[in-house]
Amino acid sequence: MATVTYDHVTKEFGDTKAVNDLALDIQDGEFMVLVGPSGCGKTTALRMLAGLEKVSDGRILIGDRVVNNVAPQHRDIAMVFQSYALYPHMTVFDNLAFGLRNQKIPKKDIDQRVRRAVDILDLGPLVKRKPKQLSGGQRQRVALGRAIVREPAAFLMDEPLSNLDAKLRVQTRAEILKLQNTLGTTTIYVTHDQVEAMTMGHRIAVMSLGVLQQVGSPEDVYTDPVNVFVAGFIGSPAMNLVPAPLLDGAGGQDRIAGFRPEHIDLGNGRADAIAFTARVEVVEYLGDEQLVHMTRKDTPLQAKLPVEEKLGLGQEAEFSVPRDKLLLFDAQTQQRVRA
Amino acid sequence: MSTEDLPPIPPLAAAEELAREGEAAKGGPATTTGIPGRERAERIRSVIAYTVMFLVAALFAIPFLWSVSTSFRTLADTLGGFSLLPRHWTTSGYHEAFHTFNFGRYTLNSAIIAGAITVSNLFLASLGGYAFARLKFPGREVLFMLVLGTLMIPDQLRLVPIYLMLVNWIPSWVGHLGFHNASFVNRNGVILIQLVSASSLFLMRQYFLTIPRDLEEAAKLDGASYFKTYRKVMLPLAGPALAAVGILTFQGSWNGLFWPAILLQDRSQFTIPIGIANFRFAYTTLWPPLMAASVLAILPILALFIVFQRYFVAGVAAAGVKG
Repeated sequence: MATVTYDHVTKEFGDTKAVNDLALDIQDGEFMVLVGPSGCGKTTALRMLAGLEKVSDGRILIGDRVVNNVAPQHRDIAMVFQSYALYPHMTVFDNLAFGLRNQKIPKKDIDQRVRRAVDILDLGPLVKRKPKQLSGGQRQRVALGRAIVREPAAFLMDEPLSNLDAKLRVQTRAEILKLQNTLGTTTIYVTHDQVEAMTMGHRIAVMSLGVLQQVGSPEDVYTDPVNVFVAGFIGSPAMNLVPAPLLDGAGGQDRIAGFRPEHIDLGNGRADAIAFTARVEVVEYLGDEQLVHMTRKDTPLQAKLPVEEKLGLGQEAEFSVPRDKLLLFDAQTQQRVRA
Repeated sequence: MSTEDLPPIPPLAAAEELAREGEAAKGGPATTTGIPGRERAERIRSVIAYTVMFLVAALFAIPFLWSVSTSFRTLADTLGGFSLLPRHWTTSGYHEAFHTFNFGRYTLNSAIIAGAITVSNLFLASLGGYAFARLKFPGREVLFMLVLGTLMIPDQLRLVPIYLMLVNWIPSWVGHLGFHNASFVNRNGVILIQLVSASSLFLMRQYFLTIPRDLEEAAKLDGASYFKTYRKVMLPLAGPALAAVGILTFQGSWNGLFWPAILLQDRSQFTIPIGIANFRFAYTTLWPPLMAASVLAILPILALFIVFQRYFVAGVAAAGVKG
């Protein structure tokens, strides 16, 4: 186990800066999620840590060691690829043992370490099978196993759940979390799925256009976003981000008002709330609650309301947002403005 | 099975099927086979396609069948005008090919040369193909273009320089191995100049490009060197390309006449194509033994192709998919 440090790391591809001055400290044993939309530089950041991409500027440290010029196999890390990258012509056992054999570890120790990973991931009946004889979930577990047997200082995971169906994804998400808790290995996990990020990470690092936007616990990032991008990216359904003058008394032309759909109440609400009327366009029934799509002066808004609140389509209704749940951003810089 | 035999389609499934066929909006019938115009057009297309394919197949098959038939004729029978089947069946052509013309020796020589060239092509083309596909080094693209460029130079143009190199330079380099000018320009020369071909290299490179890069990166993280990645990960996955290179190279060198005819000066090292050419004389051609030798010469290639056919097609197809 080890800490991982990105010390003002930049990666350029020609004139494009895929990662721009990334400064990030990951604690020993921490589960850090790099999250952002496609092309935000999260995978490049991970690949630089793995040694699969060269660093253009800055330093990467694993523990106290600068690894910029260290070969991937000597960085003491293990990576789980999005495609799993299992060797198709090898059995599960050989896939798990390949890296250890290359390290010239005694056969007895290899057997022992592979058996341990097999036990942890419940791969017992599959060891003699080849990857094409496994389901997606089983392949995913073998890929995790290949990382575990290395007993590395850090696990790097590049969207490892994106090829699984929704149900299996939730299940595997829990398995990875359990595994990380058991082994306590520092984990850097890349995903574009903010739900995955929120549910898995001790901390989340939100990236956009190669720039780190915010780092913090899931709760911090959700409740206290530093800019419009983070506010809009984290949370599903997304935060309502509208020109402040749309809500009476929220702010001037130079402000953007942000408020989460679950913070909207039907009716006038509390005394310290901002009330507004909006026209109900669509109501999505979600079982335990309903998602109401509405418009106010042609600006779309979303509200999450209890299912008991009955709303008709086309109805002009009164809603409110508590003032303490309203976030303001500078319309020009897009940065958060605190009172 | 006719449409009447099919179980009734539930309304929803039927609607989906219609939507897939793009017929839903037209309100047309439930299946495409029920459209008379389209059915007729498809039938005409099939007839034309099969006719063309049959004619092309006949174009290739008739000369081959005619050679098989000639190999079972007497010499007199071959001079009596065209007939598809022999008037008098005989195996004397085969007997003559084996005993008078030392066909066995020629076969062995061909096998040695074709085998050596095939093995070296498989090894060198896969190594080179891997390097061109995946290793980053300065001048890689220029070098690859140069390699491909050699495909455009006809062998006849290279003949004199290569012959002079084989006679003058190489024996002096490897003279201590006991080669003298004449002895080197024989089987060794034929093998040496065909150790690896640009087309084999191209085929292997194209196939390696189709193998996901993640596998190599996983191997790199697993501590495998470049050569180990090639040997343990890439090569086992390149089976179809190796089969294609193997068959094409073996076939090319087995049937090759040009270089053996130029370089093989020792009669005991003659290959089958040269042996077959020896059935022709100034005033006559011994067609039955010539055809018998040709038919026998095809058999190893045929066997190779039948065994590796599946991989061969996959290899050539995959190499053509990604450039």
